Amino acid sequence: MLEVVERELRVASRSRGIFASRAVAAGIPLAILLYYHLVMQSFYGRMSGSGLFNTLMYLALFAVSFGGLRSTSDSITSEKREGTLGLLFLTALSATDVIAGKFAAYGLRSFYSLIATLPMIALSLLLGGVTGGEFLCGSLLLLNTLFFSLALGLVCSTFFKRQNAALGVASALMMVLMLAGFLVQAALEWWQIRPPDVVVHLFSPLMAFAKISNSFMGADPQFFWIHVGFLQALGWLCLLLAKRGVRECWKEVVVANTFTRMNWLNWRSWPSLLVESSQSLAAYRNRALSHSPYYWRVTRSKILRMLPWSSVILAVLAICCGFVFDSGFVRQGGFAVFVLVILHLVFRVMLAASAAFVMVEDRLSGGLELALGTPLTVKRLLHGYYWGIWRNFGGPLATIILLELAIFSWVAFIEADLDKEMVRMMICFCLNLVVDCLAIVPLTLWKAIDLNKPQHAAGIAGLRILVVPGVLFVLLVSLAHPDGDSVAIIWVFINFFNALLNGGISDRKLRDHLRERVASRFTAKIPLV
Amino acid sequence: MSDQAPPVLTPAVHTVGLTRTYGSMTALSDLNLTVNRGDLFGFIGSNGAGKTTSLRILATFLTPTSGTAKVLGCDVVTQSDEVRHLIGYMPDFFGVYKDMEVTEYLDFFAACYKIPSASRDKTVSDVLELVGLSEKKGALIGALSRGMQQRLGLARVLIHDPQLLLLDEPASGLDPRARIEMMAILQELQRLGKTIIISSHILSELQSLCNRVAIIEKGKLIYAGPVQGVRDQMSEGPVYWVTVAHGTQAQAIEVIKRCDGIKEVEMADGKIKVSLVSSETDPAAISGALVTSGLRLLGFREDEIGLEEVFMRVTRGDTQ
Repeated sequence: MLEVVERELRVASRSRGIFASRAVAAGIPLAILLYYHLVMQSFYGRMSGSGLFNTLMYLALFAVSFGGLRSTSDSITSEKREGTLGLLFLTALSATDVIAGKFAAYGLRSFYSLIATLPMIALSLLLGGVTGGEFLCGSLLLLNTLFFSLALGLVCSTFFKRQNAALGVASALMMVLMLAGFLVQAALEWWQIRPPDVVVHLFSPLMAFAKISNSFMGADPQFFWIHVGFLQALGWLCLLLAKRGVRECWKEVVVANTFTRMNWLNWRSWPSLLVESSQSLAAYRNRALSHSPYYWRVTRSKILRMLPWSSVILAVLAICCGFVFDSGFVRQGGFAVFVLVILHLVFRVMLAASAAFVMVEDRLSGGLELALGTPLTVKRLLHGYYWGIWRNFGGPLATIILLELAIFSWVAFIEADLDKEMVRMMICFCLNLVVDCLAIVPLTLWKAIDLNKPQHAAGIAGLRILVVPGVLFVLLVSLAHPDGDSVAIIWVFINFFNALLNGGISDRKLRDHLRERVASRFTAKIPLV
Repeated sequence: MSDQAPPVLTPAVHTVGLTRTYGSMTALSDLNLTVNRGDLFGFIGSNGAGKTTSLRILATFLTPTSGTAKVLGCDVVTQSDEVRHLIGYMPDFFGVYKDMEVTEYLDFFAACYKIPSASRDKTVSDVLELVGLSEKKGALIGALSRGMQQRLGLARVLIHDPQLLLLDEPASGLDPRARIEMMAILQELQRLGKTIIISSHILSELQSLCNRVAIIEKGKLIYAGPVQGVRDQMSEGPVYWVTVAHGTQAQAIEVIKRCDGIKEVEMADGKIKVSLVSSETDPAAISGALVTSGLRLLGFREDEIGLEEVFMRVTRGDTQ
């Protein structure tokens, strides 16, 4: 086991990213602390530390829930892709050694990031309103959630070959866990059964934290400890499953281009539903290749084409479910708007992930370099990428906007008063989505030229398009205290300016430097934007 | 395939003072090279000698720091689009999309070369037949063996019927059968009139395959020309192996030493190794002297210097 840990830590010690991640882990709470101290207190006067503590804890819980998954989701998949997992089993190492070693090595990296965060959270103790017990329970909750998150990432990593797939499934499972309490509550209420509190607070770390926080739901340690025990047990179950999985997953399987014949009773044959007939594929290939080779390349996968639609369908289903439940909040359309906000976020992330995935795969396989050795021009190549990505996402984007129109019209109808503020918000909402999507594609493609992992490129693009304007907006609004009408204008202006700047510069860089960057295996790197 | 006649009298490749530096490191220094049309030209050098850099400049992936390179009369910097139409470049990596089928992959690159969709099917079938992959048309690339993927790479290179093929280590990692088959395909392509520049580490195969070679070390061209011509360049005379009846070797050595133009005579492995001063010395004089002396001559053959030996002699194993 120690051999695996030693090797992983040695590899990690050479990565600059690991030190940067610790700095970020400590820097973000510090920035929030400064913002809270300098801006909020000057505006609202002296405030207790509980608000800050809760904000930092919820952020930290969210970060460890998904950060742990990100850490371990490529632990086994990378070994499988490189074919080195089998080599480990040729030695005296057992499955337990491999899993424990990977868990310890990858967990240690995340653990150090968490350790860097805790002193910043502890600063809220100095402001008052937070007890030492709350802080200790919060820290324990963070550690416990990190443990489960790492274990979940590890088990998903054993069952997939690509990190994207492992991370996607692990994130979806984590989301289900986060929302399980609400879903169970809603389902039981549908059958007019009052759900016991323990069921609602059992699954989600966020809900468990709400139970220990005095300022939210009133301290109730009983549910907190039940949740800690439950999540701990789930974590060990994941590790056990990972151990069983890793024994088998390294063996090579024969690649075949035909799925099992469709049989509804056999789940292994379900993917054949996604396979088109060879005649229709060939006909589509002919048409698409005439348009642009990369247009076909981006749109040839039916799964990638269906992915954005899946988010829209899920959102529509969620909204429909919302209508079914008899709740004032839902009836007022608030739930539908909440779903749309989440859908906007997910849609942008999916768009960035899709662009990054295609570019990284093309570059790493060497196919892009070979294509650039043909008379194919960079302009035609980029046209292919852009139109291909928009073919996959254009339809769902239009559907989302229509859906929004319908929901806002409905809200306006049931409230019998078309609020100007609401109309303005809706237009801003839709415009921001369209502009962000237009900027995300070139920005992600440009970032993906230099990165080997698509999620890194998508993450950077997300940071530039979603987080940076958000932070700028909050700072500007906090400092300038504009009136209600100006807030929307500021929001739209910052977002437009940021998207145009990032999208425009990235598109220009792609056109000017794509060939050079892709062929620069031996040349010095050109600084990125 | 294209009916366009190549421009007359221009060499396939002509470089003058070609230099490429990466920061302080000089990968290629003052390369002057001419490859004639129809040549099967071997490009030999240690790892990091500058072979791949040269090929990537010719393939328009890299721009030279100084000097010029022309491919079939077109400058690789100022006429790069024209050059891309004329060449087929196979790099030292596969560059395949493993989730594509063989036909899809070739269709994709045919579209990159703007081959009309009406003739794409036939072109793909033709190149697959040429490289012996017709039966794998519908196979996933990920399921092909390494040798087959290499053949697919060659098929991709041939899809637009280029006049010049630049092949970087096309036989690396292949098993003996796949290597021999690959070499046979290359000979067939040469017979069809293609000019081929091939870089490889398997020198024994290049020796039988190539009509001309270039040896490069630390970015500098050491030798370019026919394999046997390297001996003249190194100012070494020919070497002959003489076999005489058992027990008469000492007498034969004395006879040979008395002949004109003899540099050195020595026994090796029961045979007599005779080194001549220059290639102008008539070897028939040696056999004549032995026969005249009444010695029984069992064998007399010229020592054919191998490419591996030439390579070892002219290089010092320095890399950058």
